[in-house]
Amino acid sequence: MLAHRAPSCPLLKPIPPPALQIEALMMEMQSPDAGIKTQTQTVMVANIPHAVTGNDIMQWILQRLQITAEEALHLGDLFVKYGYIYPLQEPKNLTLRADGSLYRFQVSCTIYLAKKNIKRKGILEEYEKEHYNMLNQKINYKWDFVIMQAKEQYKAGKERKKEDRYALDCQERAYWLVNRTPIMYYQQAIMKTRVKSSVSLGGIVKYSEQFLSNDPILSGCLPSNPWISDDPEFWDLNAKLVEVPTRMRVERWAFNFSELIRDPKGRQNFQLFLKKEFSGENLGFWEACEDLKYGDQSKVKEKAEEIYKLFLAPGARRWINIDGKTMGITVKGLEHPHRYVLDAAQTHIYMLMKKDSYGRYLKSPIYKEMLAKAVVPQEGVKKSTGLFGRRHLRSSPSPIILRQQEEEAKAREAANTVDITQVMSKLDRRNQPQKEAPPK
Amino acid sequence: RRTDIFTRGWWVSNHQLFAVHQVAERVEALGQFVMKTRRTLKGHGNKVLCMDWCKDKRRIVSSSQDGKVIVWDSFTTNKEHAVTMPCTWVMACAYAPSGCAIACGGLDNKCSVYPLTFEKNENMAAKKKSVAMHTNYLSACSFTNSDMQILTASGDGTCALWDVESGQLLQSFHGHGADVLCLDLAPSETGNTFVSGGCDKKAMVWDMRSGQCVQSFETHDSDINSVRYYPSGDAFASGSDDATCRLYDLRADREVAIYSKESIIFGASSVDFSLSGRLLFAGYNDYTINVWDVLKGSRVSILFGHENRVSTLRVSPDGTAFCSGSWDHTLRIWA
Repeated sequence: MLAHRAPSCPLLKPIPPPALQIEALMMEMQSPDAGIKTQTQTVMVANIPHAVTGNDIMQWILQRLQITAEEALHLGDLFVKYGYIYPLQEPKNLTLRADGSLYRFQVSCTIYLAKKNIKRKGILEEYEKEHYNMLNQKINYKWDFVIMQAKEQYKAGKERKKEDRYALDCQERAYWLVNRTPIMYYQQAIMKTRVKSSVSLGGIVKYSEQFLSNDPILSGCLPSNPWISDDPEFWDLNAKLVEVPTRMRVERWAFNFSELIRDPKGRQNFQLFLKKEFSGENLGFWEACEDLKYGDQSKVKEKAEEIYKLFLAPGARRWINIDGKTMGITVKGLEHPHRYVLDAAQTHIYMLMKKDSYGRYLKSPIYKEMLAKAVVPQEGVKKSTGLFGRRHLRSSPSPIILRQQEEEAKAREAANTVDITQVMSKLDRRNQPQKEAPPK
Repeated sequence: RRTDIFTRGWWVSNHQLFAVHQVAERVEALGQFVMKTRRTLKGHGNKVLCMDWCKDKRRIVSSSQDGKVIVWDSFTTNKEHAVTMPCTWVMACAYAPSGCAIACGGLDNKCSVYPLTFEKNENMAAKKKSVAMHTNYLSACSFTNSDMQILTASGDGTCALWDVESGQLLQSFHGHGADVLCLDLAPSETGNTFVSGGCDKKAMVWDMRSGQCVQSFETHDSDINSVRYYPSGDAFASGSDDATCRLYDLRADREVAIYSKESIIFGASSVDFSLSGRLLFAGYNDYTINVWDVLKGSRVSILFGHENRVSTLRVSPDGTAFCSGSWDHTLRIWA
């Protein structure tokens, strides 16, 4: 792990191996004959298998180790703090409560290793082999039990549902990643590029200063902050695709490319400009890539193919201009499409828009007109409290309704388009017989 | 000049700049600061554990210890939807980008998605989709840029990315040595990263494509309960049980501020930035909310009102207010 890089701190923190004595004791606690009796406990409506109470743990430790109640509680508490046992009801409270509070055993390091050995039929990494042998030596007398447990779990694991197996595998892998040698992280640390602090901090300060006037909590907003005045007009004026946006909003589009592209109204205006420059397909392509990345997993292949046909194939209707190398990588990747298959092309187009089109857009008549038309709201009237206190608060249409309306509008638009083409083809058909009429 | 910041040896003999307050010396100080509770949302019968804003800037979803998940129009304080989860301790909830669904989970080790409807015999529970499956409690969840993907964090020490429709695990993230308690997605259009914080005191930054941890920070002295990106995406803040909040600069790859006071001895449970990133709002286990000047490192205000721990805090999408949820069963909107 990358440690804090102050001059005096060590670059690496050594990761201590799990305490073998604790491992051995944990094994005993869970063994069917000498261990704590576990059972399925009901917590509210959920059934939690293999749970034990804090009191059970206390009693077992007391008996097994023949120590005082105070020592037993402290030891049990440490087991919880180090994660060998975890609490079910107050997950963030890592203490042992010697009452009916429920706990569960974390799958132990020993069992993980033994399972891995069984699964991989004796093939383990070097550091794993070392660890395995060490454990074997230390708890040799319990080794049969360990192997039996591991075999049980492995068998049960195979019969488990795919999702459960997946989740359990995740848990195991997580365990090993934490206890792995730190060499890998050191290598990663060397490869990363870092920016000088003063430069980076300067950027952070600059951002805050630039957006200060846009920060409603610090600078207020016009006509008023709805939460303070009870008047939602500020929200109406700044609706997603409002006819005429506010001046502050349009000015924000000039702060950086990200501000423009993130605002649906800004994107709409930018698209108008791109169309004039005959590079409208760039934004269209970028949006299609976003849809691929964040959309339904089952539609990935289908979408990737559609995008290829529309934007990338030779002679495509909305062909985008990317360099040969990127095109090559993309086409190759499309042989086995996945969510990120268009990343290279998308980044290229994004940079093109940002470094090239964006600058020209800000100087264009389209943007300047938007700025000139933009609304500057007047400061709102102070809220009137009226006879009964707070003014009547207007509710707003639910996003569910709005989405329905958007979809209906899209459907209507699509229907209209179809009508036009039908009309066109009718006209064509009327003209044709005259041309094709055979000479008499 | 009285300052409330720890300098902790950041001043190096060759005067290198490692702390944000050094670079912000010439920045104008903030004026008088007044924020009040503008709405109080009552309706949960038990500790409020989590909340999230809808993109429409006024609706919110909140979840509580008794399994209740409520969707409110917090402007009018009307409850619009409610569902009771089959488990207690619903520690995570999130609003979908479309505003037409919510996700939640907790002690059931799952993250479930509920489409929101207005059907007469509305039975939200019947339409529920079980998406994520962890082997320990769900501590945090967030939709990515669409309703189709969810990112989760769990007490099992991992984070995971899921396809909502099929429930398929798209990517898992391993590296934390203990429970992961929080996560936040980077705001950038170009990067695909997120940050997570855990009981191992580490904050880790992940590449969503490869599942690799690309940066890691371990300067807190206790559990990290909350992480939130600075609006530009170049930094993030954390809140921890060690009673401090900290700022980490991602490009310089280091901690660049600690927000703490001797009088603040209880853990910070939840943090979020104001729209410009100039203010950091932090909710604490001592029932208060402290407002920090991110650049100067000083506390500008302390807000009283909740009658128990503040467990969750989020600034609204347009920055006009923030919402806090508490173990006192209520949510408050502050502006």
